[in-house]
Amino acid sequence: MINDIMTLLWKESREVLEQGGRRGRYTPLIFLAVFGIFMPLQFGRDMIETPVVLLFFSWVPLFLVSSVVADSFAGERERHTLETLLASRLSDRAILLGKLFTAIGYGWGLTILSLMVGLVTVNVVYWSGAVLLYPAYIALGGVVLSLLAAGVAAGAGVLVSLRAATVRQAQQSISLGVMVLVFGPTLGLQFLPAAWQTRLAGWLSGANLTSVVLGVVGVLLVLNVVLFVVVSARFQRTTLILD
Amino acid sequence: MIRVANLKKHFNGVKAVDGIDLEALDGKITGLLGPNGAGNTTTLRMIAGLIRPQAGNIVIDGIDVGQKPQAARAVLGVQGDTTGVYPRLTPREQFRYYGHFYGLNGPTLEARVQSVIDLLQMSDIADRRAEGFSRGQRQKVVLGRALIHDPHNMIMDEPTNGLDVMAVRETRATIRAFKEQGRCVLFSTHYMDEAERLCDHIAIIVAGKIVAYGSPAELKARTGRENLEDAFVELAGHGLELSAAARQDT
Repeated sequence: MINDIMTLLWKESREVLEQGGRRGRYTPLIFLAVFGIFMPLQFGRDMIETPVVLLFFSWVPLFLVSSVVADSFAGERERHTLETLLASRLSDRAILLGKLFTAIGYGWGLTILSLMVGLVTVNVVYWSGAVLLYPAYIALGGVVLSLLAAGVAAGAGVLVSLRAATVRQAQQSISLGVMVLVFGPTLGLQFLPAAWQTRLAGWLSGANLTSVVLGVVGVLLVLNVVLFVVVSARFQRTTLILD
Repeated sequence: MIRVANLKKHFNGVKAVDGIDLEALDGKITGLLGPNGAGNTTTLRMIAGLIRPQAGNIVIDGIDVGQKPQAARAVLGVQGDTTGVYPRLTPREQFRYYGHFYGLNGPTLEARVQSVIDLLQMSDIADRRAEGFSRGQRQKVVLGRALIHDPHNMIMDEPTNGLDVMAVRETRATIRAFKEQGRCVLFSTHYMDEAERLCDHIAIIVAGKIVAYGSPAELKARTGRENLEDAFVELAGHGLELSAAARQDT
């Protein structure tokens, strides 16, 4: 099955990296330029030393994954290639994992790469005589958070893509979901009573960062497992062609 | 060889396939003929393991599709009723992609890819991206993907639909070549002349049932008609009347 997944990964990566023609091929480079060079130039050493970067680790994969995952099944359906893919010898699990891993790999890989480029940028521009590295808890937390965030986005995206008739339809639904996920909590906080807001701010300022990160990791882990179970149950080869 | 017994599939109470028994033999071309909505595509999709039947069983080269779908797919090539291709990949890359699915690698895969390209006479487009291909060229890519693992059994859903004359001739020649190679070919078509020229056996499906089965000559003899189209209209019309009567009875 590993070989089947690798084959799917190869093809999906080609599709992802070349979608939108020449412009599509430059998208990862533009992303790296913005998040690996421009932002570190703006924020300087803070980009490496402050825990705020963990937010970056968690949010960016959501956008990256959502930009490619819509194509996973809706694209096959739209191009009329789904039938031949499902008629092949591949197992359901191999097809599903191949699609999921492609989206996760793209989102997670680009996030990690942009942070490494950012590290180089900060070291080159703000050189202070010693190599500056991410603190261990930020590096570890970031790697895990971005992976889990990419997993959640990929799972939810594949679920949407499985049901969508077209890529555009899937993209719209996924974009809406990401917007709600990213901006929902911020907007929701505005509607909390002032006393609750004060209490929450107090709790956050006093909270142990490690506990918060572990809590978020736990929530994301549960979401990953739940989404994978749901997607696996939803991916029924013998009904998919009729959807 | 493909053997289908008492195959049934209902969609929301509509009997799309209603107890089909069929045998498609090795080295023979078996055609499925029927009006639109008769159940041809549903039957082929069930044989390909794309739709689960409500009843009946399908056996391909002795492998039960319901019990061992992956093993059955390994001996089956499927050309669906659409001509979907991956626009950013060349035909050669698409054949390699599907070849990997069937465990082909290295020189074996490359040799197989080249033999499919040669068989389908597509060396002029083999290394061009499929984006912008004509329907006939896309059809060849789809057929090539179905053939890459050298399956002993081929099912094809309206393989010449929408093709120009030259592409139709090429496709028909390919289907004949499959027969000469000893493969079992089961295909659906709406073109009577095509069925008459190619098929060793024809199954006429109406309202999910096979209403007539035989060689083109046998079907013509049975109805006393001189051409297959007239024979088909008579047999299918009779089948529709029987189907309507059965519905009234129930």
